[in-house]
Amino acid sequence: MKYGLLKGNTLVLLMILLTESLISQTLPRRVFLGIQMEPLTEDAKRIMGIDNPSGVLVSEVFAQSTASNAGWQRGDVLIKLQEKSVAGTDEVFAVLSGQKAASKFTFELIRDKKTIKGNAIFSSFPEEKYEDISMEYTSASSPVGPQRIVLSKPAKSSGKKPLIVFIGGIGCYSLDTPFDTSRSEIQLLNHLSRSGFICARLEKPGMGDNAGNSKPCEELSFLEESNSYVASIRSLKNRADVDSNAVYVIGHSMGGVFAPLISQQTKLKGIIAYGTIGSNFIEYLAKTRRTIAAAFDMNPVETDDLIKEFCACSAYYFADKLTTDQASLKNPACREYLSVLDLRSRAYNDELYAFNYPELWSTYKGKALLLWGENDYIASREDHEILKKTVDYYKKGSADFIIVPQADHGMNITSSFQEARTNPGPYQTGVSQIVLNWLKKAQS
Amino acid sequence: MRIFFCFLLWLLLPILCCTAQQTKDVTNLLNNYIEGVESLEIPAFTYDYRTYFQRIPERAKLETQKQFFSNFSADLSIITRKNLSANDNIALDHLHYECAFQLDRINLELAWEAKGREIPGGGLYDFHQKEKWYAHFIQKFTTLQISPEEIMAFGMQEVSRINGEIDQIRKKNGFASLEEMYVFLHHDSFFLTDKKLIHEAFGKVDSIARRSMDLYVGEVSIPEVYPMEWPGAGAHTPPGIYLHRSQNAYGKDVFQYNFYGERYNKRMIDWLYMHEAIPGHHLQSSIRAEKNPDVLQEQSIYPGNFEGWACYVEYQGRALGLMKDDFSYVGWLEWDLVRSARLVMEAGIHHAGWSKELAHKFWKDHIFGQDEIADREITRVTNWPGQALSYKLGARFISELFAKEKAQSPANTQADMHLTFLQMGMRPLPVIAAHFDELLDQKIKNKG
Repeated sequence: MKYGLLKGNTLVLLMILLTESLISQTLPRRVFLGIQMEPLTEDAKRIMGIDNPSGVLVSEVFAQSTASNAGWQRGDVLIKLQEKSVAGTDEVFAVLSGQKAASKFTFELIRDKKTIKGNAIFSSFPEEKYEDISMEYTSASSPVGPQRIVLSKPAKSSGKKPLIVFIGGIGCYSLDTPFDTSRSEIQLLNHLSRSGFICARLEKPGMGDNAGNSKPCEELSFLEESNSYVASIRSLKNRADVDSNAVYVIGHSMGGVFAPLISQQTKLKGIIAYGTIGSNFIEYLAKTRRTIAAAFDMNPVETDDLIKEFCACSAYYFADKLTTDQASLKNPACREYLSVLDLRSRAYNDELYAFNYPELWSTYKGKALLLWGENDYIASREDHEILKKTVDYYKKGSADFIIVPQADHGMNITSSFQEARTNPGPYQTGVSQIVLNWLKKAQS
Repeated sequence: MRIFFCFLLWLLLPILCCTAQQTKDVTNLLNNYIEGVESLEIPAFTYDYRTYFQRIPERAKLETQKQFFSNFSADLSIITRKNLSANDNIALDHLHYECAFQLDRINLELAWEAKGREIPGGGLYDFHQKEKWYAHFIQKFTTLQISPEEIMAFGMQEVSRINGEIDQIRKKNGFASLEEMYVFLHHDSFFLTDKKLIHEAFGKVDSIARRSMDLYVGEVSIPEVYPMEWPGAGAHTPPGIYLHRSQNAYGKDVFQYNFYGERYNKRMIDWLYMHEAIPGHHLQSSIRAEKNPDVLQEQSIYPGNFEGWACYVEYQGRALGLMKDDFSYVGWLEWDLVRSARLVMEAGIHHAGWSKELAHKFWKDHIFGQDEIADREITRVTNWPGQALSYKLGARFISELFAKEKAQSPANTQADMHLTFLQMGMRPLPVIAAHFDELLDQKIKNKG
């Protein structure tokens, strides 16, 4: 009896420890201020009759947010947050990135030319909600810190399901945007979830809920980012509801470069690469300047000049290892041309430069679907054809290449390169249909 | 005497009570309608047709919407209008209009849904039932039923007329060609780079416009309106936008102008101010706000009404003492030319299946010196079917309405007609036209 009691207590203790351990691993939601901001321009100050030097104008306050609970109103000027002066939206985000939900904060506003000081409690960032899709905000440990995974699956589901993992493009951006669910990635994954798949959006390290918890996105190398995705996929494969033999990666843009790299560390049944790179990085950059020039309505002479100058600037950056600033001293145009590379770290770009892209795919043993939108001027059709040939070369008949009609790089409806640049429409639902048909074939 | 009044009251009381009760009934009806519509989760108003189609809900929700509007329409048809006030009658007609329009939309959406929810890019021309869809979009934005052929013909007629006027000014000022005139007009002296000077210029236009308002709309109070740079405006941002204090964070009525490139064309100042501020959107919003619009008006968006008015007023620029010099007038003509060309290109793209190349060719052939905005405008008429029609077709409708009233009764003043129109608020133009005469008479009697 005593032994039995002891055994019971140990179990309770273990359960408490285990729960605490799980809680400590749980990545918290980021805080939700709940305002729309616009810069406090000189014009705005003149019209509002205020002369304070800096702040941000609150142009909208969302219901049930931190700001509405704190009594903020449209027209307020936010001048201090957590005792720090804020002169622009970046500064507001910088303060927010270090905060935790349910924690207290102080603020200073100007309303009707009077200063209001106050304090309130941060609420947590909302989650997506759907009638027919069940959402789960989970996380995994990775070498660069905890990683947010946003899971969507059919509301009524049982047993193991195939898993679709989504990896985004080159930029440092969040895939966790409950206020904008019209974006292509979410529309695509929701469509697949409604069709019976478990879908996982892998947040980039340093972005969304990962901010402040993992290495900042801008400082990562390509391989570090890739390893964080491998860790997330491995953790997802251990889930009871996931069929670990049926894991697919959708790599969007640069995500399509991560996908074969990931497959070298954890087995994938299939890769869907949309608008990706299939030739060496310099060649990719050079040839897509031609389609970019077309999107900007450049004439043939201007186009040739652009490509020539871009190649010269790229050589400064990659071969001579100059920074953008140093390259700009040699040719001022390099500042604009190389600005895209400054989105990421030198290590990240150097790794991209060093890759042999067909080699990345040469060891891949699964199926591949290569998609290119016919109005995608950022990726090249030829690269997708190269990848199809590459995959088929090493494993005959395992790659498909499909051109998505009326779609751009962002998977949006468009009718030309120019329109893709200036006025893309919403998500091209044709992408979902193509992906779904291919997945059904791959699963059968 | 006292007995007489008691008798009169006895006679009038049922009528007065009845009218008051009916007004209450119409108010309830409007509230029920809005409440019902809100529960249907109809997607929010959007300009871009691609987004519009993407937001169309699944069949079951469309069927629920259809049921609601059919039932409401049936309930409306049995309401007796005897003894209803003029305003209640207008509100009822507005409800009839909305129910019919919504049912037309739902039937089209159901047919589109059944065909597989395809959203072709490049306009409505590749849609199943393209003619019905384009007619629907024309009505959505203008509230009018006009054929694409008529739109194209009107647009062409306007393009020719305006080009003719510009050419007359060219000749009058001794330029051998349009090229020569535009070399002159592109001189730095026609541009302002200092925002203070731009605001001063708008201020001068404000003083001139306000001086004429007694004759234009009668004695009305018009709050101050502030010009400001449109924050974040780019090459593809329109020339200006008006924001009533209820729609912005500044707490005042403002209009924002596009200062992209930090160079402002002086020739735009007069017409842009008239369109966005006085007697355009600012005057319109100020008068409407005083009239306590009903819930249906508050929820309605009819660009043919508000853009039609703001475009209509531009035609009176010279009468208001603005656009006095030839080049300021040319500045407005240039924009009116763009608006007219949009009619032709829009109907060409959605009705006649024009390619973008063909639209560009039309632009090149008919518009001189504005190539830099051609792509923006063609993209706009492609992706926002109907929207660009609202300006000129709305203005033409309003202008013809006033001309008809004036012809019927020459004593009608411009101020009475303008004020009557503005006070009728956000209603479909055909509903306004059906009751305009009655309300104008009432206004004149009340004055008398």
